[in-house]
Amino acid sequence: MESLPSFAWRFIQGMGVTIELSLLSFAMAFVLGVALTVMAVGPLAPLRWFAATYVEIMRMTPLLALLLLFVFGLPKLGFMYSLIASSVLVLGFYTAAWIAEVLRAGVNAVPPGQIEAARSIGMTFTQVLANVVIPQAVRTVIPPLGNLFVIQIKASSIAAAIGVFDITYTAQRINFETAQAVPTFASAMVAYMLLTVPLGMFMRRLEQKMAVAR
Amino acid sequence: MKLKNIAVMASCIAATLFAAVAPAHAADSVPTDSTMEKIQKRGKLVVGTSQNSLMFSVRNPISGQTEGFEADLARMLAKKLTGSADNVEFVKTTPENRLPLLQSGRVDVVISTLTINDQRKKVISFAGPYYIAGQDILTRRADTSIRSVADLTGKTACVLNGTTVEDNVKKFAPQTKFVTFADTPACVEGVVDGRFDAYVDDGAMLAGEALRQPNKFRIVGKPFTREPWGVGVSKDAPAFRNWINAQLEQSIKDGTWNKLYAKNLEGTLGQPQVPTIEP
Repeated sequence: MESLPSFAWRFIQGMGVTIELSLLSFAMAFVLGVALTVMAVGPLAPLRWFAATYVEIMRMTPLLALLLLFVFGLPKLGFMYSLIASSVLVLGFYTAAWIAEVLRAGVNAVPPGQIEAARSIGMTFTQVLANVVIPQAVRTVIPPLGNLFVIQIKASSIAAAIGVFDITYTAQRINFETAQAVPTFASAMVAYMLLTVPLGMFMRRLEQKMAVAR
Repeated sequence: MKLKNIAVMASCIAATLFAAVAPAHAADSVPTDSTMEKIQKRGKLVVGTSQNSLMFSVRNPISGQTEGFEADLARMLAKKLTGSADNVEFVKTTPENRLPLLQSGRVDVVISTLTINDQRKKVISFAGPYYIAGQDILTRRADTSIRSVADLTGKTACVLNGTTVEDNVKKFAPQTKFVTFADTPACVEGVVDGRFDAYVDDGAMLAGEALRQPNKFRIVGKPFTREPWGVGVSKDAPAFRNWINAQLEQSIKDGTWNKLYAKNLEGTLGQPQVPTIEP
């Protein structure tokens, strides 16, 4: 029977993969989310339509179904990505929609009077965005973005469905080898909490620091 | 001797003889086992099976019935235990959840391409084996580079979650890269797509898959393990397990096993290897 430290090491390796999946996909989702938000609040109607449609589709589709479509459907069209790449891409595309919604709410929270004032002194759309809107929107969006990142860490567990060695899949393998479901999956929960709890505490500290009176 | 004493002695002897003979005729009468009593009281046998293994356990989408060698074995056991072959409830299982479902009591037995091995014997009991399989390799038809299990070195192979395949391949080709997927169709699709070079699993399963998509695959045809498939039974039901063994022995003796083999498997898998039941 394998030793406890050996199991712990496997979980730590699983945590490494989970962190990798979460960070890479969240970074991708953020970039994509910003692009979608700019499209959604911008002057060009076709882009506004595209952004709105994209967000609706991603919010209506279950993440696992999306992943399986990506892994089994895309190769038929000639595109085949590695299992980790597929997981990161799917998580990224999916979460981008949610990030876009959060960013859009943050942008809309900036008092419209300020935007009018900025336009009236001759700033272009881009200048208004960069100098007036974004600095103020950031304060509103940080807490929901932090939430989304915590959710991302947990959502990364779908990679277990395609055999990627994250925390969840590691637990499934150990359970198969030892048939000890309770300690195994309890350890998986602890492993996830070791990631999400410190993150949650950090987010709360960050919120407090940014709670400047308006 | 007094007549009364002779009569008593005679009836005692008759009763003993009757008791000794009775179980052989009524093999479905209940010995002391709470699991068997529970099944008889419930009136049906709950069987965990994959419903995803061509020729052994497949769910007919039109009739809703589960068909195949394992399904027929389940019905045979149900008939002997409850009196009717229809008193079966099939619960779909995967290699990942079949043992937990057995241990939790959700299913009475697991008849699902389950290889008998020491690691599993630590947590459950086995009756049988009811079939001798061997693990083999499925590749794309055009790929001729894999001619034996040793050729898997350096290649990527798909195996199913919760099976013994990976360890067995590692004995012959330790440098093989493995990907685990949840079910057979996923692995087969991966081979078709080129995501991996081979799908390794029980030869009987592979033959079934090759049947499903003819001319797309090549099966190496050199089984590199001997896989006795057994009926999974809870460790707490030794009498039930012995009873199932007795039924399997009986079916081999009276030709039922051969009949079921001929009905489900002979066309694709050729000559049967009649198993020897492990006591």
